[in-house]
Amino acid sequence: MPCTFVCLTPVIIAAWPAIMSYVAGAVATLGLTAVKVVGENKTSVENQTQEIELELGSVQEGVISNKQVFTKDGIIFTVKCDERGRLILCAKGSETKERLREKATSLAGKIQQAYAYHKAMTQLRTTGFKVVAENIGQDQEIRVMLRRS
Amino acid sequence: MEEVKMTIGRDGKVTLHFEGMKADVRHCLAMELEKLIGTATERKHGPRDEEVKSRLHLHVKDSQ
Repeated sequence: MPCTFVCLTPVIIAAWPAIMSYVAGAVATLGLTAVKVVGENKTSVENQTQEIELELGSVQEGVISNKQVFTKDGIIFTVKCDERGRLILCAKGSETKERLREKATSLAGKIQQAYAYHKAMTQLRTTGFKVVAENIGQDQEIRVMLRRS
Repeated sequence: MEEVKMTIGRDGKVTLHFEGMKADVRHCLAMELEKLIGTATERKHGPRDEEVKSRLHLHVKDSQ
């Protein structure tokens, strides 16, 4: 029987509340702490010297001012919706740009992993598949086997 | 028995392996997931490659 392999690179397209649920899962896994933003205060962000941005997808329903801030090891991560509706992950800190990009890429991957898992599992369950095995490897890869008769 | 093996990497990349399905069902499921999740960067499958290739502009390679 022929088989098919497909490799997909997630592009997040969702409403802001749904995106925040994927972000919450990723943040919990990586041990980041949420930061309460009061107005447009600059606080410690102003003292940081480097900043990088990654585009993760687009926000279907959201407000430009929507953003959520997290921190870990002196790096401040901001997940926000820009004026064009793009979903942006921004990392600021005193580390090198390479190090910031590495940390931001790690968080972005986790958010995309949560998004892809939710979307794929929902679709596969809707089409009658049942999970027969699921595990998370030491490499943090999620492996799922599904079957339907 | 139709089977799907799915791996979601730490970078978010999803690899799907479909087994035991008719070509139409495989292609339909693969395209539906692609539409929901994101861009297919690699695809290897059996019959109807040319049709999928022309529709999705992807590099298609027959795995059989």
